[in-house]
Formats: sequence, structure tokens, C-alpha cells
Amino acid sequence: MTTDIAVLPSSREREASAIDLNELLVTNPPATYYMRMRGNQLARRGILPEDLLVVDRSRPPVAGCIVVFRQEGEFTCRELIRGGDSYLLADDEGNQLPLSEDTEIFGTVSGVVRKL
Amino acid sequence: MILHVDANGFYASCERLFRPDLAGKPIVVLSNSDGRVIALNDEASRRGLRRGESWIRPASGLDARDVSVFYSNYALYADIGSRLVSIYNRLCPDVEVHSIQEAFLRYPDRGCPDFAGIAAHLRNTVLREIGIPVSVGVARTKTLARLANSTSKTGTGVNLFDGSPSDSLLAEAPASELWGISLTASFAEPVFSLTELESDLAASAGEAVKRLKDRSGRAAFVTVHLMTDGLAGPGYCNQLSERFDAPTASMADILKASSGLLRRIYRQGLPYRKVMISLLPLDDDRSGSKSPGAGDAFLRPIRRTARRFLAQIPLGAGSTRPALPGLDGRAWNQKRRLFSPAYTTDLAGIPEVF
Repeated sequence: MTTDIAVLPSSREREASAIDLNELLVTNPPATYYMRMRGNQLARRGILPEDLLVVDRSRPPVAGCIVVFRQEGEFTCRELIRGGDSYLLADDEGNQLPLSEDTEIFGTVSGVVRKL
Repeated sequence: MILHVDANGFYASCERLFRPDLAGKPIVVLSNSDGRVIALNDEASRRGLRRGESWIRPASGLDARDVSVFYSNYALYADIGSRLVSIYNRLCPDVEVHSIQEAFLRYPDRGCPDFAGIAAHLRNTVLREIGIPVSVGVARTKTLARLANSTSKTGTGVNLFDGSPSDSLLAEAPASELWGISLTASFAEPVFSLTELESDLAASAGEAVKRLKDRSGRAAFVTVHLMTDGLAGPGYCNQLSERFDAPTASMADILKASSGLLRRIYRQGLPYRKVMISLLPLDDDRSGSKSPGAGDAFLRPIRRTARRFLAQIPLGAGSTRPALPGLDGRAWNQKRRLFSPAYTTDLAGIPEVF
């Protein structure tokens, strides 16, 4: 014979309030900044003008990442790709900028938010 | 051992962070109350600019070309400052916030080791994750750690104090005015429940307000930090600040604000180890409020200065590089241009990427 016992939910379950998108998008809050995409160079990579970028400075930039870097006094967003022995910053139009020692990478894009 | 961490020229570093066009250029930040320089970067120091100097009547012979001038953007500084403290808390069990740009980190000695290495790791982590340069002073007492930081500039950002201080050095050390208050509740057993965190935070807030009143201070900002054990699994730490409409020492205000902040950063189901509250005044308040009621008299010369420098300097604020406004435009608009946007706390102010 078995008895069903109604178990009271633990205190952690009772405090559920709502889905929090921060939990999905932000893994390291102190290292996370938001930026607004204005350029059209990454549309085929899924980033459209006016998208909100979640930029995580603690996430190491590796090949295949979308990174924000400083270029000619502006923030620019490109894909970091391997190019032989070095790294390149690539956009949809096939432009490839070599990653030099002076290139200052601001952070890695860890998420994109778009309101439709 | 005690590590004193100082974000030198902190406000200028914050202004620089989201302005890639200002790399390597002199930046000064002015007090909003009297137009004095309250922060500047190395490039501005090299031009002979000094903290405390009046921007309304700059010393003659001053080379102000290309200097970017900002009024204080406290929303930005409070947010970045609280991010710094989150990183300190992740890396050190015992953190005391001294001001928006200074903190003391206490490490147990245990015959250890390599404090220069710990200090360098701290500095590198803050620079990489937040983008703000800090220097670290290491010594056995708070005074000496602070002294190590302020007197010896090794260029590496890490300054160890070993040996005994000479009297002359101690005499030169700036008087330590503790004007930030921080209190941490740490838990030996992890805490999951919001209710429990709230009651511990309220106890800390109560004690913080008591200390604030003891020194007749008022808080302009309250920050709440929340963190899990950094060593066990993927850690979580977060922080959030609120600015009071007017600086306050009211228990009710501070309790309400801190509990609201905690609720916004709390994530369900995590093993929390620490919750911390910090109260900070405005930087301007440090010297006491100058000439109360003379606000307007101060504003007029500031506006005039703003106009004068706008004519010479590519001042920047806002999301677009400013085309210089017609100089006969309204003074108010020109003053607004010296304020940078709330890059990190307002969606309308976030930086643009191309």
C-alpha cells in the first residue's frame, strides 16, 4: 500500500516570480554592457541594425565570436575568424581586417535582443 | 594582509570607457557645484592640469587644447563603481568600500604567498572585465596600504609596502576620511531564500544607517551586492545602485531602496554566500557644501566657461559626435552637452556600434 503525501514546496520554489530574461542573456553582470548596433555589415550573420547587443568583457574572444573593438575612434562589431596564422575581423561584404597588436577588443557579443 | 585598490582618476576613466575617440586624449571631470576639476586622466595631468583647479578661471598658460571636459555623471560612476566592488567581492572574502573609487581588501595571511601576484591578478581582472585601470597597494595595515598606493608609482599598478614607514612619509599621507560605508552579511551555509536575504540585508542596512548618523552623513547612493560562492560551480554576482533624489539618512528610505534593489538582482535557486550594502555620498559633499544658496551665482560662470570651451574644444557628449552648436544658442543646451549619457543604466544612452 502506498500513501501519497503532499509535499510542501521548498522555500526556493515558493519564491518563483516570473521568467527573467537576464538569467538567459547575462552570465557575468559586472562584466556585461549593452550596446546598440547601427551598422548593416553583419546582417547575414544575424545581427541587424538597431539590435541590442549584450557585450560580455569576461568572455574570451575566440574564432567564430562576434566582437566589439575600437576602430578609428568608433566601436565596430565584426566576426573574429582565423586567417592562416593570425586572426581577421570579417563582415558580410568579405572585408577582412587583420587583428593587429593595436586593435583593442572591447568585448565579446554574448547575446542579441530584438523587439519586433 | 591588506590590499588598497584605487581607481585613479576614476571619473575620467568612466568617461573614457565608452568614447573610443578619446583614447590618449586629456579628459577632465568637473564638480557640478562649483566647476572645479575633481578627476582627470594622466594625459590631462601631463598638461599641467590639477585636481581642485577651477575650470572657471584656469591658471594662465594652461594648455586646454583638445581637453575633453565633462560635468559629473554620477549615474555612470555609481554603476561602474559598484561593478568594481562586485569583482572585489568575487576575489576576496573581506571587502570594505572606502569611497566610490577606493576599497580595502583583507586577505588572511596564512604564511602566504605571493601578494604581489594576487594584487596583479586583481588589477588585471578588473581591467579586463570592467575596463577601468586600478592600482593596488599592499601592506599590513590600511594606512600603509593606502600609503603604498599613493606614494610609490611603480608603473605596474602594484605597489608593495615592505619595511617600516619613515615618519616623514606618514606625515605626508593624506588624512584618511572614511566617507563610504559598507556592510556585508556572509553566510557559512548557503542561503537560497529571498526572505532570509532580505532580513540579513535589513540588519546590515540598519547598522549602516546608524554609522551614517554617527558621523552626521547623508547617503546619495545605495548599492546592493549579491553573490554566490565563487569557488563552487558557476558563480553569480550582481550589483545594483539607486540614487536618492536628495541625499538622505532616513532608515525608511534606505531600507526601502535596498530591499527593492535586492529583489531586482535576486535569482531564484542559487546558493548565496554574501549580501552587501554600501552607502556613498556625492563626491562634491566631501568638502562640505560650499556657499549654500549661491547655486545660481555659480552656474553663470560655468555656462560662460562652457561656451568658451565649446568654441575651442571638440567636446563630446551624447550619442553623436557633436557638431559645435551655434554659440548664441541657449546656455542650458550647451551645459547639457557637457554631460555624458547614462551609458550603462539607460537604454537611451547605451553606446553605438557600427
